[in-house]
Amino acid sequence: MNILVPVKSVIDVELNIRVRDGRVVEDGMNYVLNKWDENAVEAALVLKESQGGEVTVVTVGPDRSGEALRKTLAMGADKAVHVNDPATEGSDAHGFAKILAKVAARGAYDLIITGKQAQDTDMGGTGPLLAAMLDLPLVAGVIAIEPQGAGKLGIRRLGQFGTEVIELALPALITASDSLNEPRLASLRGIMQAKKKPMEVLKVADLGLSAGDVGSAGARIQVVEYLPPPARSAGKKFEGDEAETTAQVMNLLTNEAKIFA
Amino acid sequence: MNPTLISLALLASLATFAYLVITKLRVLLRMAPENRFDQPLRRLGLLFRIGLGQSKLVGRKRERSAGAMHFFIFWGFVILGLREIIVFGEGYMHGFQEVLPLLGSDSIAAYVYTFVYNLFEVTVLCMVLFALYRRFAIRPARLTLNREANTILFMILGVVITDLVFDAAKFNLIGLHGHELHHLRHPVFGTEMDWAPFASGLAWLISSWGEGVTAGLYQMAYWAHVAVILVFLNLLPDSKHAHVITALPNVLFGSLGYPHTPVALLDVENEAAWEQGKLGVDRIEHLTWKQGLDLYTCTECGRCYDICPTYVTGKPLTLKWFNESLRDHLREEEAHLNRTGASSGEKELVGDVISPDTLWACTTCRACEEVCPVSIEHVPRIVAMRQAQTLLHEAQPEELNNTYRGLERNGNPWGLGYDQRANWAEGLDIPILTAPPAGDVDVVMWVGCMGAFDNRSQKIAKATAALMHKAGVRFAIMGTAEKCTGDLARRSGNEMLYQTLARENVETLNGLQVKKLVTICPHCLNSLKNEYPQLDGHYEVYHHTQYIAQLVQEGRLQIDGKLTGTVTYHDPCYLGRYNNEYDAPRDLLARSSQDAPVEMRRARNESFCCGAGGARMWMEENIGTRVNEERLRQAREVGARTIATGCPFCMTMLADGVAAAGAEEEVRVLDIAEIVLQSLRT
Repeated sequence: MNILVPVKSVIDVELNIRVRDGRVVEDGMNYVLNKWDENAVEAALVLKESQGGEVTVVTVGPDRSGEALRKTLAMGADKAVHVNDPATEGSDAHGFAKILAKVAARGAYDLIITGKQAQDTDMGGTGPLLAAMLDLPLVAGVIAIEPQGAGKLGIRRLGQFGTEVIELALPALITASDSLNEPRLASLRGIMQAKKKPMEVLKVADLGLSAGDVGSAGARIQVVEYLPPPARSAGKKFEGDEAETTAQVMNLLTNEAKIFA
Repeated sequence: MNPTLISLALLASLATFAYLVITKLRVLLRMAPENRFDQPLRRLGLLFRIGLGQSKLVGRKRERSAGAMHFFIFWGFVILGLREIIVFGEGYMHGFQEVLPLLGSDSIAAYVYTFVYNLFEVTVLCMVLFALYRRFAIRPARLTLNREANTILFMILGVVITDLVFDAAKFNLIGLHGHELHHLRHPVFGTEMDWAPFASGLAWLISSWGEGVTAGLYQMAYWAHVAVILVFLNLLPDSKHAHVITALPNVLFGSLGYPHTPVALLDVENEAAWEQGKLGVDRIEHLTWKQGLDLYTCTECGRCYDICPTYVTGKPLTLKWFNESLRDHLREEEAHLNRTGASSGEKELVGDVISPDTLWACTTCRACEEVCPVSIEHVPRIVAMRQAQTLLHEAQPEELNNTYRGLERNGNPWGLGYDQRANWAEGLDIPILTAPPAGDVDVVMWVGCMGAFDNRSQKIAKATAALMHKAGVRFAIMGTAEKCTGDLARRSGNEMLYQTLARENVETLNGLQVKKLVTICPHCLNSLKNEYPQLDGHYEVYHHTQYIAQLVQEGRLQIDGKLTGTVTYHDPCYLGRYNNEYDAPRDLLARSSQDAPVEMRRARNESFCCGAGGARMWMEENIGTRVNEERLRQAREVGARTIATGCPFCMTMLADGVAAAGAEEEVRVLDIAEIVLQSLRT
């Protein structure tokens, strides 16, 4: 089973995000592999281990995104494709999907797995758009995968009324939830082997796209400005005995937060 | 006596003995190399203190009677060694003793020696009887009753009894029956009989026996003695009593560095080492020859057994069996090792020989090494085995993965944003070092992850900062440039991650030209002081209690005894046993407390670990009872209302123990710095 895993390198959300002049300050930021993409890589590796085949990882982004790819190779992916082109800067989900669709077309993949969303934009659009462009069946927010013989996967996801059990014919695209698995660490063995694994670096032109198709030029939505996240207001301290504090809390919950309305 | 017979016996015995010993020596040569031949004078010091002085045996109050017993048996062996030369020589030549320097009839030394060995024969006899009494009647938990130990004890009895009987029969043959047998005589010094009161006494007891019986007894005792000695010799190499041969060398080649040889700086980039599976200890032959000698030397005395926090709390790690399992495995592999240079690989070192639960239970507290009478180094081999598990097999406990991820990304075990590392110091007027200090910084405070991020531990950092401010110390912190020292990664065998963190820290510290550091965390202290030199990081590092004690000594801080209620001090392993600091915190505590602090039963170098060391802080503790709750019990046993400590990890563990016991009203846990701050003269 050959699997393509699109991943994204995102700002470490553990850090304080600072906004200056409507832009996110990149200075002092660390970039890490998007956590849902980590789940996607793990799922792909588990499938490869039981079904054979190859796991290809792809990302779109500047030089620093290469580190995220190295990490997936160290986790056990077989090869990587890095679309590293300044023209892609400012892409929206549609733009990313366009590029990824071209990459997907270069190989014969039975399955595409990606994270259900990215930690930085929280948009969750790239996976579904990519499925649409490739005309593949889509299951989003997968919590379990069970191989079911040739060309089929048993899939579970959390639906509105409970766990949905799905039989999915391949090829298909699924997006990973974080309860899908516990991603492995890049081991020393992996890091050693990753050094020898192929990483292909492409420009958009190599994919038959022009600079105008992608990046801010090709984007259908524009982020005009970033606003800083609201500062956390100080907590409230309730004093008195249990009966008093309970009454105070209930009062605030009912009248101020209106959660029982 | 009978030169032919004695020659045959000696030849057979010594040949077998040489074969056994050479087999072991060849095994040791197959193991990893290590230089233990440096600094011969300091090594002789070890030999004299720990070996000949038996300091670890007689030095411990709790074990004094058993220690004294061993002291006398040991010295009995040394003294009777010379006696054996005389006895075996007599087998070849009548009056052999006369040709030995200083041991002939005209030398007073010969008579004195006769008295001494006669005295020691009886002493050893009594000590062995005491040992048997201990084994059969007292039955201390750390000892295991087995045939091997008893056989050896009875053989020692055999050695001294046969020689006493031999002398007694000889004296009677000479004195009562006029036999011309060699014995010491001198007109002034008297005769051998006068100098051997116990043998003479025994002779008197059997003086009624006839000449024939006595002569028979004389022959029998002689040959029985020879037989026991020669059989005993060959029982040694493959038994736990090999220590008779190996203990002194093991002490001589013991670790000189304090507290033990640092963890090996592995070359994690070396692909060949990786491909051959030679990272850490994955097979028995990856142990160094000294660690191999450690295995052969263990006598299963079990001192490491009842000192170990994991044994006390019912975990599968008992170091005595840890050593024994490895040693038995080594013995099984001896032939294969000597034939091929490698072990057979039939058994996995971790999995078949040592269970993973056992390997990962260790808190690296080093209590076992402090009490081992023969200088066995337990912790380095455990860490080395963890290295192979983590680096080669990726078999570290799962809980560590998130911790590693946090360290990788944000340089702290929780993975909290590295940019928030200096938040605790906001508004405290502590400068952050961004360029090499221009002579306006006395010391740099290394905060550590706990002090920087953990709510409770931040109070320790703040108290220390407040004290330094009060004393007018000019200090700075490194802000967000500081990262975890890597201690927990290293103790759990993740040398790769340790080295990444440590190299970055060394680069930062050297870039800022930092020379002097003070830290509130003994684990940071140990890494910065004892481990960073391997990576070219050389700093003068103080624990905050050491630094504060210095300020007090210089009169820059004045303390009054304001703390009330019973207080006791809990020694952090990495401050005490790893860095030999027991007194500075005690001194500060004594000055700050109205009443003299009380000591727990387990204190100073025999302190009981809180359970957090060796990366145990970041692993689940599912087996047996909890180490921290046991320590709390020990503190409450002496009536402590305040437990003082000097480590944020000990603080957390003990406070958790207090919470688990619901004893917040009765006991509180404070850092020495907090106590000092509350006791400052106003």
